[in-house]
Amino acid sequence: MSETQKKPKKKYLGKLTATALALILASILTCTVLAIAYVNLTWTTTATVAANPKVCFIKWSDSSKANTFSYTVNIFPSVITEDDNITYGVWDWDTAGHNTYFKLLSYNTNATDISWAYYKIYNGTGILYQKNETNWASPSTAFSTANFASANAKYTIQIQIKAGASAVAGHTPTFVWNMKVDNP
Amino acid sequence: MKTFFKFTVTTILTILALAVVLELAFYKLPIQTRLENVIPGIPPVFGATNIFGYTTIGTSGAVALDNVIYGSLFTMNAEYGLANSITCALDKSSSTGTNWTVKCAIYRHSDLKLIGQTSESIITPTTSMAWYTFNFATSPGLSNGVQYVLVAWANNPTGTLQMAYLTRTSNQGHYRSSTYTTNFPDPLPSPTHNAYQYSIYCTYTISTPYKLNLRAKDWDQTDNIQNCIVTMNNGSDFNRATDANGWANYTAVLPSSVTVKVKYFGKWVNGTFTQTMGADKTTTVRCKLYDVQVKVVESAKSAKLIGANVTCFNATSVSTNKITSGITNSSAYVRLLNVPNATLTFTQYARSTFTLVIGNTTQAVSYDEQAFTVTSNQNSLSTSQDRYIIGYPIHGIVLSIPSLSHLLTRCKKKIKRRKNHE
Repeated sequence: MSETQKKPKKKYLGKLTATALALILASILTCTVLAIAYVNLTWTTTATVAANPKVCFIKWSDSSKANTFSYTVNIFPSVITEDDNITYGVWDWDTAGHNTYFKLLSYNTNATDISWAYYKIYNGTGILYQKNETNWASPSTAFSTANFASANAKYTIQIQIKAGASAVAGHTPTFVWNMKVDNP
Repeated sequence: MKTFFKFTVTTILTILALAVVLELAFYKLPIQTRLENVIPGIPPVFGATNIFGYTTIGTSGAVALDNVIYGSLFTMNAEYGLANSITCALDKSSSTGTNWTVKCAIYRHSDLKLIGQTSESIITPTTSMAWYTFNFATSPGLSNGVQYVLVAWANNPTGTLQMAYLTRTSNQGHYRSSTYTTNFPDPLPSPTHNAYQYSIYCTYTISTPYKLNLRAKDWDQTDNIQNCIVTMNNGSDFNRATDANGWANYTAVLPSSVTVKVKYFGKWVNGTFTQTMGADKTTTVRCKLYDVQVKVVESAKSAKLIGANVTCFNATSVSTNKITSGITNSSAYVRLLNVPNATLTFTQYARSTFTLVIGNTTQAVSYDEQAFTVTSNQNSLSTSQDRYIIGYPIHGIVLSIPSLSHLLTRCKKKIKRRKNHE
């Protein structure tokens, strides 16, 4: 019998054949692989607030979006100060409309310095929201009901403030207003 | 009967003697006194000439006119006139001297304002007193009953030029040393007084006084303006304040060209214009009094100020300088009417009593319906407002799992490599 005709000789490793051993190893490997997949299962949660909510402030001078802004204006006793456009507006830059809510978040003034403060958020179509706070001894700080900002709509903010007759020159009344947006 | 005759003759003689004495005394009286006494109650004849002053060559003495203004106080007759000339009695004190340059003038006594001066003449008088007449190039107006000082003045060549006088009432004489020059001083500076009635008189034409009614109106001629000061010059200035209907009325304007100008709160609002008086006249004077629109803003954001008081002053912000004021409307504008064409002060006030100054601006007003903005920057409170957004976040989830098929492929390849090795 030639060398080529010889039947392949089974190799034994101990009592197990090489095939059996291979199968065992394969099974072990498979289990190992499965074990690794399970152990290394990772969940990366990115809870990042979007750069700007779908309804945010807009700076009119350069059309940039903003989530906050400050506005300072001088007022005088018994005189109404009115600014029809306080340099920032409200912009729903989404293709869908969103509910918005407004409230006075905090303040440091009183009824002596401020008789009333009115603000209105509006555009050519209508008024998104307006509020006249006349009780500065105990002003309302609750959120307004929902106000629907239309898709791709920009709104102007107007303010009117009347200082009290006995308002003291040099005082610095401060209000913090808050806008809440359903997003999406 | 004889007694009666004697008495009658004595009486008649006495009466005649008194008449002579009175006539002589009367002859010495100043001419204006004579006219008033001789024709009391007779209306003046317009267009005729008359005189006032002293028409007699005084015998009390003479004064040297060289570089001294000499004259006396006289009261104008009860009529209006246009002065034609002044005549005075002159001589020279010695044979020395020729060619004096001489002229005369009229001053109003109340304020020593120069009413008019004659043309000058060059004269060489003798040593005997004689009358010399000097004519007015433009006839100044004379008002009835007004006291004037008639004066003469000469230069100082060699010798002495003299004017005659009669000693009469103290302070009737006026004089002032002054080097002779082209024009008389106006007004006559603090003259010294004496009791001399100089031989000098004025010849004038009796004239009809006219009425000149001037009504001050603003630029758009809508409003009649009260308290304008109208100055009408009819030889001298006559000031009148306009009444509630804008009228300033003059009842005795002489028939000559007069000039008119108008001042309001110390600012000229109508330049001088000329009015020729040949009859009674009524004229509207259109003044540069403009309506302006003032907008008031604050300094931080140029926000509008509603309900602020804006007061216009002609100078500093004191009540006596106040022209007008108003309150800004819902657009922060206030319309102020009839402010003069000038640089004015616009002061802004707050509080219900408008006692708190919140701004002060100087602004030139130069045309009707001018609009401008003033900024209030005093005694303010500074409000600040912060605005925030609360946005509800989107939660992004990323699952990362190694590939099982990739691991199996790698195992098969390893087994195959081992087989090949064997």
